[in-house]
Amino acid sequence: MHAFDPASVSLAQSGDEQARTRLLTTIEPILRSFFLSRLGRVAIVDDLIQNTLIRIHRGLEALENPARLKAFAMKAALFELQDHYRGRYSAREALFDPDLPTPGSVGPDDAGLRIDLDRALDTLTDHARQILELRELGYPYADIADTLGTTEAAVKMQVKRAFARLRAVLSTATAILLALTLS
Amino acid sequence: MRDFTDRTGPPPQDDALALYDTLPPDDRAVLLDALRADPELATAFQSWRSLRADVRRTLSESLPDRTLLVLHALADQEDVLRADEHRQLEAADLQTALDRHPALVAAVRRIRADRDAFEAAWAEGAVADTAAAEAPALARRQPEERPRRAGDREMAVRPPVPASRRASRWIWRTAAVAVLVTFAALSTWLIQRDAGFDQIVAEADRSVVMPDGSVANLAAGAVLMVPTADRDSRQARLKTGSALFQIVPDADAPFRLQTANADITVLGTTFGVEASEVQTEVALVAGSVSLAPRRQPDAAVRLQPGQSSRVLAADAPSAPEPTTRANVLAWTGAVPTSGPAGAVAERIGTQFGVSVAVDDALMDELVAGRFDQETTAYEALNVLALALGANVETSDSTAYRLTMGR
Repeated sequence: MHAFDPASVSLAQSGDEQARTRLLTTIEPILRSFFLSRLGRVAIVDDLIQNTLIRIHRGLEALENPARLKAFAMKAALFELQDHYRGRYSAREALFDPDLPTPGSVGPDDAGLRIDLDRALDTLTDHARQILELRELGYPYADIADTLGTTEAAVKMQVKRAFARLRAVLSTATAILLALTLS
Repeated sequence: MRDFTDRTGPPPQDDALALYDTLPPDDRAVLLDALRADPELATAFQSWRSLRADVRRTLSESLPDRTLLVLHALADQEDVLRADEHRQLEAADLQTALDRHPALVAAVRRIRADRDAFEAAWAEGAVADTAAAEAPALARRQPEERPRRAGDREMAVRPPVPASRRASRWIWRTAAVAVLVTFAALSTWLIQRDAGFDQIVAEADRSVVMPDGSVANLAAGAVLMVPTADRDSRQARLKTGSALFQIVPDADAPFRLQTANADITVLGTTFGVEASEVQTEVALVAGSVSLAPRRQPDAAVRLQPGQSSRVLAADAPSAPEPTTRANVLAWTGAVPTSGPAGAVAERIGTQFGVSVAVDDALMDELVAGRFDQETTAYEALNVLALALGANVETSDSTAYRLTMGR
């Protein structure tokens, strides 16, 4: 009987250790294949596999229909992948930027900066804004390029232009402030 | 801070600031120095980060729960979502968020591509397992002829793992899942999952060149795991013992060193590690390194040259502190040191039993680096003088003075 046969899955759910071990053993190479195909050969893949198996292990008893094992395992893997994107991004911020103050959203006390930021956001093209949002969702620039059907270099160029526009807005604001001060 | 062992790094540019979230630590450190020296640039950068934070904030306001995006992406197929998940989606009104943020629509496309990849892996895996179940004896006798799985394309150079070994690994893994919440199990799992690594046990002090060309100098008793040819070469695991790592720079691929309880992320740098099952201590000689408990990646601290930190069990790392004679590095003969030049000179003087005077103009210059215990006071002071652009004057072999260069 195949490990994914509903009867075998039911056995695993009911506490049959042999069935559960066989089930997890059969899923492991599938997860490895999946994560490798999406992320490449990176060290974190082992962690993602293990965490997904933990999700499956913990949720298995609550699986209502053993015939839907694939959908159940797929959701576990996709949730884990999203957690990876989100977690990796925040970890990178923490890892590599400890010396800089954490930038928060601009509050009401920073009215001047708020206006400048709104102006800078308005100068963003839809394409640039989409890229920045995907980046904030945690996707690497290469994946963003793949998703948008363009090249990584083109994606990064959009980000650089967005920063250049922000600088231009800030320079203009400074010049206006200076003119008002001198007049 | 002047680094007298590592002073490389590209000049800061707008492009680097725009893509700061992709920069390796060393380049970030250079950028930080530039920002401190240029208030206008610092203002622009702070605004850029605030803009990015605003983008992030509006996204999370529109989509507070990322799992909804996955459920939405999967909802176009029957029998994937449960009834309660359908109800959860309907209650969330995700369409408003999708209309407001085109990036979420792109992310949904991405998730559906992820789904397709999973379906393909599942189909190949299920077929392979069926074939194995139907002809287990044949599969054991002729493992090279078993059906190929998607993952095999990536791992083609790895020799086939005997079925009995896979099974035993999984017996362990199943047990580990049950008790993974405990730190002890986590440590055990790290050891058990070392398939794909070669183990090196140092019976005496020795050097090991790792697959990416980085060098690990192992103290006697250290046990190091280095990846086999089919694995990511920018990683290693120090299971126990002391080691001094000299990592080959690669801006695109940080090197990850794992111990039983900590993750160390580095680029080109030199650092010492002392690891056991429950404790990891790191002393940085040159470059930049971050240290985090394996269970708390967000608690990472970054060390400056001459600093050390320690992770005990699953606790957050201790605050980085200056290291003068870290035990971690004592066996190597390398002494990391950092701080004002006057204090560093004093440490060198103490180390070699000589007196060292420093011109007032140099006293407060910040430096960081290391000197070899096997060298002489004159040589160590010359390295320091080189970083300061100073001269070393001496009347005899017991008294030295660092003077301003001319």
